Amino acid sequence: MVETVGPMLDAPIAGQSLTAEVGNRPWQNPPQYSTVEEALEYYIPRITNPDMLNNLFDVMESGIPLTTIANAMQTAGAMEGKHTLDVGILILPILIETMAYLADESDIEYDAGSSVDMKKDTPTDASIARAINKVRKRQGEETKEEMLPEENMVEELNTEEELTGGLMSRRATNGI
Amino acid sequence: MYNVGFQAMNNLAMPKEKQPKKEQSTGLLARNVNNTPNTEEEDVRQRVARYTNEIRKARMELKNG
Repeated sequence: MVETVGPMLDAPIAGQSLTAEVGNRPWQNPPQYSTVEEALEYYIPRITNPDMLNNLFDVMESGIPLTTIANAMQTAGAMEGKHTLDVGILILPILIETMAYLADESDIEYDAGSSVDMKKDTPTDASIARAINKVRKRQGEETKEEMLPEENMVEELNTEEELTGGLMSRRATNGI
Repeated sequence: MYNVGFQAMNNLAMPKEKQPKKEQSTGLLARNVNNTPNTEEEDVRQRVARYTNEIRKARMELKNG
């Protein structure tokens, strides 16, 4: 199952469906095409129309997956009351396959969008940067801890030298 | 976002290719005469899978020359 990456911020507001009279929306009325075949008879001539096809190829070349394009098409059809959402979802594979066929026929590169992304488990650049920062911080703390005793030793040595370094200072008792 | 197209495409049960049946003699004295006609009605999903399979086959033929 495809998991959502981020929070769904484009979800409808609770009660949004009750802001219009029941039956005023096209999708609340009986659909124009009630079967898969009828819906396909509506879509296929539109997809294969040369004007539409050029726009479709532009969208495909821009890297948008075929699954996303087909889903947008069928959602728009359901919103216009052309067919039900069920029929829309049923015809999705046929729309995707048809678009793939047309793209292959015209040597257009496309992303089918129906294969599982194997690179999903690889960490993002941001997470790698965060991990590196963490390691650096930890290493920095460790080196500080290691450095501290040495610094104390140096300070101790300095104090000893200060005690014995003066001209008028006492000589060391064990010296003579 | 939840990709319905991805789900629809990946959950599509493609029809298995039926192996050609051996031709049986239809004589009156032949064994195992199957009189029951094939009345299997296709489900909507099966129909969609069949259509998709046909287009895919045509696409593969296009790719393979």
